[in-house]
Amino acid sequence: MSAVAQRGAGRLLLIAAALVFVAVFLVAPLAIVFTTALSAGFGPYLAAIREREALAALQLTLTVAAIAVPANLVFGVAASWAIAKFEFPGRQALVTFIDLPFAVSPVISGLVYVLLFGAHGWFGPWLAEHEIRVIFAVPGIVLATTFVTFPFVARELIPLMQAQGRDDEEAATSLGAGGWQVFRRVTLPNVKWGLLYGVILCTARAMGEFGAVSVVSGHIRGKTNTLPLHVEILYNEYNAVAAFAVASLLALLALATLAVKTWVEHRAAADRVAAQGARP
Amino acid sequence: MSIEVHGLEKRYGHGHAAAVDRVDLSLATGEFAALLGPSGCGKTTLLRVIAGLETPDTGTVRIAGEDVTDVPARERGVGFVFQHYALFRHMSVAENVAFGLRVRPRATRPTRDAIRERVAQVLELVQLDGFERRYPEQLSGGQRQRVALARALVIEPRVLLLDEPFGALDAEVRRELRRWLRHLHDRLHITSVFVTHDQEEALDVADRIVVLRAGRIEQAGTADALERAPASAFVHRFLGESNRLPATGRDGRAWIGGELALEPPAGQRIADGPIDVCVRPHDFSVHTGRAANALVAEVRDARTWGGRLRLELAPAFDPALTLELALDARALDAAQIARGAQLYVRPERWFAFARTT
Amino acid sequence: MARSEAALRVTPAPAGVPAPHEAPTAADAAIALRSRRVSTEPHTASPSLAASARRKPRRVLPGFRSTLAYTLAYAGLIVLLPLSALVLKAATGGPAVFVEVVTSPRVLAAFRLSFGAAALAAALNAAFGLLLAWVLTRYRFPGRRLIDALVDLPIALPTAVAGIALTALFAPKGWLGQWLVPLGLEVAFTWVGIVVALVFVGLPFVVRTVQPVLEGFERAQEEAAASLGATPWQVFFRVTLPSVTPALLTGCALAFARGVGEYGSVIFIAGNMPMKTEIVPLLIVTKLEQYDYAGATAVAVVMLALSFVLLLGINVLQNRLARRGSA
Repeated sequence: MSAVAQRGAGRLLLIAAALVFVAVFLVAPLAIVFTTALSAGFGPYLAAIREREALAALQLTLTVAAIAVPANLVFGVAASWAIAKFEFPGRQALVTFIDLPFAVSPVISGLVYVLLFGAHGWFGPWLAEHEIRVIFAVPGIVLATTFVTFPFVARELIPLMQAQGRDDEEAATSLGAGGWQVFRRVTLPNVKWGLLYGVILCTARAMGEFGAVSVVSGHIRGKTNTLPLHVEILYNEYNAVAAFAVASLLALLALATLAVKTWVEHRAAADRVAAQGARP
Repeated sequence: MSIEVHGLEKRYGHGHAAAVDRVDLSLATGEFAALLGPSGCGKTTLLRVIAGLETPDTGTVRIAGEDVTDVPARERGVGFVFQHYALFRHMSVAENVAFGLRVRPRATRPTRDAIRERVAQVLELVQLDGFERRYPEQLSGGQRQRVALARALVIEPRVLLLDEPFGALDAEVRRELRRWLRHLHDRLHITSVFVTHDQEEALDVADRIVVLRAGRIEQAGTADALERAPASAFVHRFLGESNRLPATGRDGRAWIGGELALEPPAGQRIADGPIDVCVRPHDFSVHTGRAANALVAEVRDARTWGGRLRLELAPAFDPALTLELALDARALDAAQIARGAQLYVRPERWFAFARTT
Repeated sequence: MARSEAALRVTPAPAGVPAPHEAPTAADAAIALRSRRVSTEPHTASPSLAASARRKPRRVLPGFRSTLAYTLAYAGLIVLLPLSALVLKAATGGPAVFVEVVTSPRVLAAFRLSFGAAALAAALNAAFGLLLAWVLTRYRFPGRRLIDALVDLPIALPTAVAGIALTALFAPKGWLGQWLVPLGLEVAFTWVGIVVALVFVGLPFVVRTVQPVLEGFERAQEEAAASLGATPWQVFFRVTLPSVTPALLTGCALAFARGVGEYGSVIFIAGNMPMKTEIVPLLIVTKLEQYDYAGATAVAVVMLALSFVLLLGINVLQNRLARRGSA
């Protein structure tokens, strides 16, 4: 290693440059959220968080995530099972298709639902007749969020299950296990860390989604505002402290996500090492 | 260009055993030496220290009389061939080989044409002319190794160092390549050192064999010298199959199993105390009837392969031991080697070493 | 046709016994081979035919049909349906309207801005991301693990939070803005701010794509280069960097794709002035708010098409990357 890497001054210079970059682009934005939120002291901070509309936004955010994430989880598991363990024509196309929402701008993700369910949309008249509100109401937000977080679990599981191959599952089948048993007892333990990681990312994104939700929500305070939208409203009213206070909740969520991610990677690596040791 | 290593020591981390433990070694110009030993004996570390890819904790390295201990690898003028070739995957064969010439400072860099010609010459030397445009992933293991060699040779190194060069190849290719390497060395006369754990390879190819164990040199010498006078049971074992008979030295003779007293071979002195008598499988003579100086043993297993009859025997004085003998395939008939048959075996050629463990 | 059907309807008979009413011919064999239905019962016209008839591959593992069906249904409902609505809506507007909208100066300015800023940010991320990946992989220093975890912050942090945080940082009174503005560097509310936001957003894509390649890189290649006389810089530029370039390109492409469509992180810092600092996603939202559905869908479709092309390109790159890596 030492034969090649920079020694002494060159090394320090590179590390310093990297640290400066990290400080400006990663640490500073994070720090300013908390310092601004607390700039007027703890009192206003807590008041902003406990404010009625903020709590309503929090509740909505959690509700939406509670629906979108499990739905995408089931999908992710089903899709990765079909794609990773079987060969069929169009498999690669399906994988690319699943990646689509990743490449689509969040605004477009919201727009498409407006086109479907909005007043002038395909189903608009029918919905209006039956007094079902999708756009500018919670169902629209759920749909848009589901769209945006669609690929997360699948993207984690597919390469993981592909890399693990089919040997274990085939052995289980030959021993008489049925579909669910094979999955539950053989596949799931092998992919549990990847699955957890995908769910975490999915949840973080579901709770933090802004662009798509902004388009479908109508911004009705207390009713169709998620936490990120509430942040925007407060910010546009020049209520910096309150905006950053609510933002700090989301930032804490992000930090928790990073912490769990690090822990998951740590456990996954430990599992890998143990498995290698156990192999004859 | 001679290589001299003096008092070399290298330790990985405090409290760990030394990978190289006060090693002194001297190789003459043009010599082809093998560093031989089991995994973890320090041979690769020693090679890398000579190359400048590792720095020793103490000691000196001299190449052609010049102290290069503090000189970085790129200025030592060594050609290093790695076990897994380390070819530059994104470069063609020609670009790989030309690399050492292209990175020279402007002052000493040859012209583009000169480089091309040198590359062609050395590729012809390793019998890969015509392969210039291929990429490493299109080559077989043996071809890749020859490209690695060509790459190291083109810079006209003072010494050539090879780290288990044939380790990743199959037996057939390995044998061919090592013969070919020997011929190459005979043509070029570059001082060369290679590391191996395969004694057959070392014995077949090298002028001088350095046997290493736990970071120290057990013995160094020609293949012949190591065969004729191994310095320890370890060397004897490492250089070939070895039967180890526990014995006691008394009155200058080796007493095996309390019944057999062997006179030492010419030139060997047997010390008093516990010793090991080491005999190679083909250095026994076998008799069906009672014979002088022979051990009684019972046949456990008999197999014929490679043109030899291989016997597994349990000696009467300690049935828990196993003796392995190799004889001419037609030396005995079926009845004589049936399981349970009794034979008399006499060590014709053997070495005695003080028992260390 | 009747001949082939008759050949297929041969009743099971002991192998080797030809079919009762017709001797097997080459034509029958050809038909038998082409038709997969032969798999359900052995084609007994002759043993050789039975052997050569293809069996339909039976899935060994369970659950294929159900999972595939569910996958297709869900994907169709959640993704395909909405996206087709978009495309169809744009189509029904008529080509004239479409072209008019897409070529209007304001829209073109927005496209130039979005793509230009994303490209610049991706290029910057290539440099910074490579630096960061290098430092994280090759050196040990206090806080390394922490920084490694922080690299994913832009993905974990909601875009709106990132947006207001970056704006606060670079606003004239902000922590960084207060130093930069007197120097003449206006970051907030200019296109520079957009680039800064996109650098933030795209960083993890480059770092996380390059890191594993650097980590798995065969160090012996670098040692070989050193032993051949290369200086550390030469080793880096001639040996290490070329091996990392495919991953770097892929990461850049990912960052670019993400940056083009980014909304939340950008609209706070951008200033959002039409023709100057208005990004395409904002333009779409504005048109929506004005009930200009035709305009919004037209712009969106163009964006979508470009995103698909990008996605395909990225997948190709990633496949190449995977193959190269195992060479």
